[in-house]
Order: sequence, then C-alpha cells, then structure tokens
Amino acid sequence: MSNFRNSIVTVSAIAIIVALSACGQTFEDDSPSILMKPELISIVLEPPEAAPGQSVRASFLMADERGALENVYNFWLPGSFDYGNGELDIEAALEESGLDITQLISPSVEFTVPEEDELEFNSEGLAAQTVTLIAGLEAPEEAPADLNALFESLDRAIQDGQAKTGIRTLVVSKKDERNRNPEIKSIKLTDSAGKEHDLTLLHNDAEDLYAARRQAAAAAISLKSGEEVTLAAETDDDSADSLALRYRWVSNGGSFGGFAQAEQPWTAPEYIDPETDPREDEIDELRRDPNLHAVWLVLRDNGERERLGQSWVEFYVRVEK
Amino acid sequence: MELKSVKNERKEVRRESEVAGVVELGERREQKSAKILPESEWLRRLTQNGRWMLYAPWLALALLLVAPAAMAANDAQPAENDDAEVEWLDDGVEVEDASDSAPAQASGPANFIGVLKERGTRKPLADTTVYIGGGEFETMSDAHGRFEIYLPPGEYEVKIPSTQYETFSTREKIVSGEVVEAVYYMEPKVYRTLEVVVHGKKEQKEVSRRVLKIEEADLIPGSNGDAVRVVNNMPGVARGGASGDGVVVRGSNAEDSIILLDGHQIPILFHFGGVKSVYNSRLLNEINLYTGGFGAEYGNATGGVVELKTRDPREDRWGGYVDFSLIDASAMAEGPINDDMGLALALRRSTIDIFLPLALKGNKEISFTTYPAYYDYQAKWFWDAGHGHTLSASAYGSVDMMRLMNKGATEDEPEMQGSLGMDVMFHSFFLTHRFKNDVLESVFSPGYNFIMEDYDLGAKFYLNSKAHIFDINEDLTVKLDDTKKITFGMRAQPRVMQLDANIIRPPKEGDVAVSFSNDDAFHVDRQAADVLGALFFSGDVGIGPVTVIPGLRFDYESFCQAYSVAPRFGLRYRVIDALTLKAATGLYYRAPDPDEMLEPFGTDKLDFERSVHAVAGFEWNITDVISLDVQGYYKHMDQLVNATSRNSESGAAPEEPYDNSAQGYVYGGEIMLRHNFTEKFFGWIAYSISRSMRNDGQGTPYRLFDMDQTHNLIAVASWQFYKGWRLGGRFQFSSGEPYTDITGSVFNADSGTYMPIYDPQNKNGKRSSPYHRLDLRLDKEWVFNTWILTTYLDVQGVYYYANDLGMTYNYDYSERGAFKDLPILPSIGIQAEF
Repeated sequence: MSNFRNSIVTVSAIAIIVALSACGQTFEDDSPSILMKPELISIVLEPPEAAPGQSVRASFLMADERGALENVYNFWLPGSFDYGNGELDIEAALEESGLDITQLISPSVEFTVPEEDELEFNSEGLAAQTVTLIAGLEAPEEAPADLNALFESLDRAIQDGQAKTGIRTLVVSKKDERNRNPEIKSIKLTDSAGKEHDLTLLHNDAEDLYAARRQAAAAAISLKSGEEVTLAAETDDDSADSLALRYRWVSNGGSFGGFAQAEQPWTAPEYIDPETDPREDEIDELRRDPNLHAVWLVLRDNGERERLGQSWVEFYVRVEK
Repeated sequence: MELKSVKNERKEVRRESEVAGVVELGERREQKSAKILPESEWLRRLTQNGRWMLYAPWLALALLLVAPAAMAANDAQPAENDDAEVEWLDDGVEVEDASDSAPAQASGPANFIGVLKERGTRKPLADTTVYIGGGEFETMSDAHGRFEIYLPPGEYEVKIPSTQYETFSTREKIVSGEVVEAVYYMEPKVYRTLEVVVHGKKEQKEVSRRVLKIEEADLIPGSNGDAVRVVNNMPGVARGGASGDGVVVRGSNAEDSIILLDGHQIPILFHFGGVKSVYNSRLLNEINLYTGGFGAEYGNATGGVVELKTRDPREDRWGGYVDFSLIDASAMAEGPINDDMGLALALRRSTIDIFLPLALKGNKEISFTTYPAYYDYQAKWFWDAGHGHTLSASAYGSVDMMRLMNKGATEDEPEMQGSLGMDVMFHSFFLTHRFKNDVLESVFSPGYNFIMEDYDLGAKFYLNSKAHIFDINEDLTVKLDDTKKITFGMRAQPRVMQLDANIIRPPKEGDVAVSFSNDDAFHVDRQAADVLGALFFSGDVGIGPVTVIPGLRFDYESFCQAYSVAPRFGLRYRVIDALTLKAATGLYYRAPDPDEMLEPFGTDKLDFERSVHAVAGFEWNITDVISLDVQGYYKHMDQLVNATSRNSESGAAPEEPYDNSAQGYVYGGEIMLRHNFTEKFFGWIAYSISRSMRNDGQGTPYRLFDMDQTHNLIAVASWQFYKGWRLGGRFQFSSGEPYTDITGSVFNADSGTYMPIYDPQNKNGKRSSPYHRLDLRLDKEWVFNTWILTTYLDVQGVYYYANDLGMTYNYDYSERGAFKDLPILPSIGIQAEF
C-alpha cells in the first residue's frame, strides 16, 4: 500500500508545490491573466452539452497586449485527434469529420454532432468529442492550393508563434436534461473612493460582436492611473458551493490580486502618453489607444461538478492622468 | 549501616555545594554514629520561620545564573586536576559486604568506596584499576564500575590510568572510623555523539551489502542527523534518491526497493514525503543497504533493500536526550526495568509550524488553516527470558497534518483552487520472539500496521483511505557447523484497504506532464483485500576459502493471482585474508502497486514485474581501517508495468490502463574507498557510474530512466580536531537528470490551461546541468559530569551555488527555466543528553 501512497504523495506534493511555487522560478511572461502576446482566451460551444445529431456553434476569443483580436484567420476541426504527445494528425481527423475545409475557415463554425450509433457512450450516457481550433494572426497571402499547402501554412504559423492551437471538449449526452453555458449577469466595480459602478458588458453570445464591442468601449469606465479597484461578478449560479464555478480574469494591463474568484482586486495600468506609444501601425481604433484597456471574465462551470459550460464577458476601462 | 541515611546525607551536602558554587572534594562521616539529618528536617529548619518564601524567587534566579557558570567552570577543569568533582554515591552500599570484591592490601572493612563513571554519559566503567598511594594499594572496578578497599588512615593520591580515558588523579584523606565514598567521572579521550556499537568483523554474507553505522550517520553534514537520508551518500543510490517513500537504487524506481524495519516494511518512510524519516535514528543500531544480488530472504523488490535495525534499550542505566532544532524537537528515555528487561521511549514533534507563520506573514493568496506539523513516536520493550529466548515488542507511529486555503496562486492549475490539505497517520506494532542455541535460531515476528490518509486537493479532488496490513515473518536457521548454515523462512502479508477518492491517475516514471486540470479524474469508493505470501530457502555454505550462498524464493499475490519462483546464487572467494572476490545473480520479482491493480485506476490483469541481477566485484581490506569495495553490475528488467493510457501513441483510450509490456536495463560500476570509524576520523569516497534505460511498451524506443545519473561522486569525512570539536564535510558531484524537451503547447479551453507538446521519440532526451554541492557541519560538545550538551551548525551549500533540480515552465510552456535548489541552507540544533 505504501507504493500507492507514494504515488498519491507525489500527486499531492505536485499540487502543493504548484500552490507554493510563487517563490520558484520567475519568467518574463509568467501570468496568463495579463496578456503580453496573442493568446486564446476562450472557446465557447453553444450548447456545451449536445444531443447526438444536434447542431453546435463554436466561437472563440483571442486577444493580445493591445486588446481583442478580431481579424483572426482560423481553422476549425471537429473530431478527435492526438494532441499530447505528437504532431496533430489533422488530415486523419479531417477525413473522419467528413467536412469540407473551405467551410472551416470562418470566425465561428456550426457543425452537427455524430449520430448515436457513431459514438461510444459511457455508463452515464455521455460521450466526448474534441473540437480543435488553429487561430492565426494573419491569413496566408494566397489561398492554399490544396490540403497539404494549408497544413504547411498552418505549421509554419504555429512554429513562428503567429498561430495558436486550442482544443475544447464537446459533451455528447443522451440525457434529457443537458448542461448549458453559465451566465454572467453583471459586474460591479468599486473604485478607490468606495463608489460602486455598473459596467457595460459585451457578452460572448452578442448577435453582432463587432458592434457590441464598440458600444462597450464607448461606455468605458474612467479610472485614475494605477487606481486600485474591486471587481465583483454576479452569475446565475444556483450552487451553494462557491467553488462550483471557475472565474478567470484576464486583462491587457494592470494587475490582479490573484484571487480566482467572483470578487477580484485589480490595479489599473499606469497612464501612457499616446505620443510615447503612437501605435501607428494599428488600424483598429480600440487597439490604437494605449489607455483603453479591455478586461475579460471567463466563467466555467467545471468546478466541483466537472461540467464543461463556458461563457465570457468583456468590458473597457479608460485610464486617465 | 543505614543505607537510607547515607543517601540523605549525601543529598544535603550536594545541595549546599551547588548553591554556593563550590566543588566539594569529598565527604566524611562517622562510620557508626553519624548524625544524620533527614531531608524533611533539613527543609523544616530552612523554612522554620516561613520567611524563605520571600527569598525564593531570588534564590531561583541566582540558581539560574550561577548553575550554568558553575557547570561551565567545572567543564573547564581538566579531569586530572585535583579539584575534580567527587559526588556521593547514588546508591547506598553494603559496607559489610564490600570487601569481598575489592583486593584490599590491608585488613579491615572497606573504608574507601567509589564508583567510576564516564563523564557525561554516566556509563559505569568496569575492569578499571584504581592505584592508591603511588601504587601501594590497588583495586579494580566491578561490572557496575564500583570499587571498595580498606586503607589505613592517611592522605593518598588516587590515580586511574586508562587507554580510552584521560588519566584521573585526585587526593583522598582517610580518617579512622570514617568511610569515604566518591564517584569519579572519567573523561574520554574521544567523545562521540552516540555510543559506538561495535560490529563484529564477521564475514559479510551478502555481495552488495553496505553497512552504515548510526554514529557515522549522525555526524554527516546535510542530513540533519537523519540516518535514513544518509543512505543517499552510498554508492549505487541516486542523488535525491532517498526521499518520497523509497530509495532509487542502481537505476530502479523508488517503488522497486523496499525499506524494512527489523524485517517489517515501514508503512510511511518520511514525514511529508521527505522532510525527515519517521523512525528516530537514535533508536537504530545500523542501516544495511543491499544494492543488488541480495539473498532470498528479501522479496517483493526488484531494485534494492534498505534494512533498518533497531537496537535494544540500554541495560546499564536510565538515560536519554532532549533535542531542539529549527525542524523539530524530540526527547527519548531508555533504561532497564529490571535485570532482564529494558524499555525505550521516544517522541518527536515538528517545530516548523512554529516558524512558518512568521515566514508567511502578509501572504494573502495562501492561508494555512493548519500549519504543516508532524509527530512520531517509538517504543521498544525488550525481555531476555533466559535459556536462549528473547522477546521484544516494538510500536511506532507517525502523524502528518497540513491544511491551507489556496485562493488562486495556481493560474496554471486552476483545479488546485480551494482547500489543500493532508492528514496522514500510521501506527505499527510488532512482536519478535527469538530463540537461539548452538544449532538452531528461530525468529518469529508478527506485526500489524494501520494507515489512515486523508487528502483534500482543491474543490474537486480528494482521497480518503484506510489500510490494515498484517505481517507474519518466520526465519528458522539451522547451523550445520561453523561454516555452514541454512535458513528457511515464511512471509505472509494480508492487506485490507478501503478507498474513497476522486483523483487523477497517479504519476508514474516516464510521465512528462501530469495535470489536475487536464487529466481525467476517477471516482472510486470500494474495499479491496489481498495477501502477499512468500516461502524461501537460503544457504550460507563455507568450503575452505569459498562461501556459496544459494537461495530460492516463491512469492504469491492473491489479487492479480500472480506468482513467481526466484532462484538466487551468491559466491565469495577469499583469495587472501585481505582480499575477497564476490559475485551474485538471481531473479527478483515485485507485485504491481495497488493503484495499478485497482479499478478504475488500474487493472487486475497484471503480473509481477521482474528483474535479473548480475553482480561481480571484490573487497580489499587495505589496512585494518581502510577498505576498498569495487562492484560492477548488469540488471535486466521486463514485465514492467506500462501506463498505456499515458503512453498511447494514437491517443485512443487503451483497453486496459496498464499492462506489463515495458522493459529496461541498467549497467554500471561502483567504487567505495572507506576509512572506518576510528577515534578521530571516518570517511569515504564513493563513485558510481551507470546507465539506466527504459521503454514504454513493445516497439517504443529505449529512453533514459527519469533519475538516470551517469556519474555520482561523493566524498564524506568527519574529523574530531580538538577535544569536543568535530568538523564534517560532504561533497557531491553528479550528472544532471534527464528531461523531455517541450516543443510547444495547446490551449485547453475546457480548463483554461495549456498542455505541453513533445516528441515521444525523444523522451528524456535532454539533461539538466551537473549537480555539485559542499556541505559542512561543526559539532561541539560540552561534557558535564552527568550530561552532555551538544550543538551543531550544519551548512548545506557552503559556496552558495543553486543547483538545478529539474525543468520548470511558464503557464504556456513558451519559456523554460531550471527549478533551483536553495543556494545555501544553514541549520542549527541543540541537544542535551543525560
């Protein structure tokens, strides 16, 4: 029995070392909460738990240190593939999915879940399907001539850091009652003077994401340079367990207090003189302003109950002198 | 003679001496009409007007200030000084009977009675000659250190020369009609922290056995007096190998080796997976390390064996120690219950939970609800029942506890958010009956272990388990003649385990990344039971200069219904007295780990893991104290449990999560040049070279073992450079450990974390920087007449170099850095031994 214990001790030690590793090695980019380069932040499936044969819509959120990335070249791949210990076997997965690749190069994708007889369900009536996304910053200059050319192009982009790969699990369920994505109802900001502000949120399921983002940016709340505020999210969670939901706060500036919970301290970034950071290469107005910062909250319901619902909201903060 | 009266009078005089800070040279009393004040009367007179209460606090303060000064002053007095302290006898002495044992050169009842004791330890000194009056009279101490003699009235010089002790001399005045009683404390020429247990120079039976004496282990830098960790300094043991719950021996997994305490497997070896071993080193006699080719009496191990042997409680007197360091505090008491029985009790408690709150002050992300704390206890009762029978009962146990609330410091492991904690305890008990005569030796030892573990790992993961493990061991040895003996043995280990858990599959050797956020969790709530059983035969047959060691072992495990037959063979050839050639080979089997056998983590379709050992070498006793041991070995391993679920190339879930498809091999050589523990020095230089390879199932390429260390050089030395002062040093140079190059990552949107991408054809293809470190330890003993105060300063990493312990990555594996050891770690400790 001691060997079993040894393994468990190792697991625990890993967990505890991870928990205490704030004092360990430090990296230039050591926090997924403050963006320093292009990152995938969320992949949302609607619905997150689907019946066999049901249609599912997949969308994603990608951003970098200047804000949300909207003109992202992307390639969706429903189906299973080997991601952990080898190259992506995209060709095989694509063949398995039976989809035309031209349909997959779009900001979001709708696909149909395989029928019941094509899937292997566990004793609880659940099966898992993996959805893969390769999102690149720039589309190839020329449309790929064939599948091989597309793969070569994707591979180069991944190697150069110009593309990111993400995966998402779709739960296929034979149950009548299936999980839905959790909802973030509101976020309140309490400023350094103790005053509460309701924030204008952009939800991931907005009909016109482009227009909604600009509306949210126009309603940005103004904060002083380096002001310390508290953010508090309200959700539709009916669980008594505060850890049933997972809160991930992300921003392209400032610093969070480190609490991965509904309430989160955040220190606004320092004011930047636009002349020192003109960003002339940037076409997008939202990304050109160095004092306009986006904050995202990604909500997952895979806490205690291991469900895979997910949603996100976005709001804007303008830092003043 | 009123014995009680003598005792009372002694106490009275002693107390006055201590208060006044005066060393009493001796004492006389009327032989037949001494006016003796009972203690109660003494107190009554002192307190008769009640006013002493007013002075009590001042008296206490004065005692506190004066006593250490008096003791220090006393310590500074050389033993041969005429002012050496003389204490009255602890026990009354039957003066009328005393003359029987002392060779008095003048007639009359003994009027000079004394006891010889070792200074500090109070160990009685037997068979020591006391010269009186320049050799005119002499007497010898008995087994209890007592001597008695009649001397004509007069003043005499008393002189006690000894090879092991400083010559003691003083003067005594014998007055007619009075008896002089004295205790002489002899100062050893060499102080040792622990009493040296002399191991007879018996023929080594095993080919790869290395003995570590406890008195050595206690003085080696870097181990904080933890004898079990000192195993790391022996050849064949990987750096950092003795941690977790096992020892990495000759390129085998830690789980492949067993750790025994008097023949019983230790349920949990270290507190918190490596902080300190759970068994108090001070109650151990020796540690035997078998790195390969070991005999048939050791089973369920394909790597090596670490055998801790406890010692029996002291028979001569009661004693013990109290110890305090920045890691823990402990106390021990031991002594005789009567002439045939002894008892030893020890208790230890961590102190880190006292200091940690200070270190973590202001940290908002981690808040401990229970600071890391550990406790352990040991007890041993021993009875020499006579006629060759002895019986002992041992009990020991350990408790580790820790609980913290993690509010979000683990952005790359979000599932570790929430309560992280552990409560782990075990209690073990075993009896040992030993019978020995000229022909037969039987050792029968039944035992029982209870292990309870409770882990909370965030909001989602937990593990609660209870295990009852019974042990029954019997060894029967028949001595055919002085050079031939055979042993038959039996082992039975019924185990019952209750497990309620929601947890990922435990990590295994060769795993590249284990993640609570990305790996599948399994829920299990069940009870399982099995029996491990074994029968064995082992011989030790000497034919002239050749000793043949045949062995055969049969093992059975009921859960997987696995069995094995393992022949073993050893050979020693004494070329000349100082040179012995040796070789051994054999088959070795080990049952899979319980989690590998238990569904849903594992499968009950597994078989034993297997290895073949081949060892050859020689021992050369260059001088009486310097020896050289050289060994070369090859080890083939097959039927190794392979984690098919993690090593699947296709990514598809395998039919069974584990199978016996993995293989491996290890080869290497070891050299150990050793200077045995002598009065002032001990040390060794050990060099190991090895290559340990594994594959991950049929058709997969061989890769380096996770803890493969090509070179491992260790030099250890300890030198008493001045009376009471000892300096120890330890230097280690070893190859860095292999790691797998991570070439990229994939964002797992389910958990918001990243998963590494690596080339499975190039697992463990890189190696971290070489490891080197120098540790120093300075010990100082202050020896008082009846106790010893020891302090030490132990500095790990003297030249401030932070070694690489492994690779660590940022959250998305885009940056890599070495996980560093602390560049320097000083520690101090203080211990009072009485």
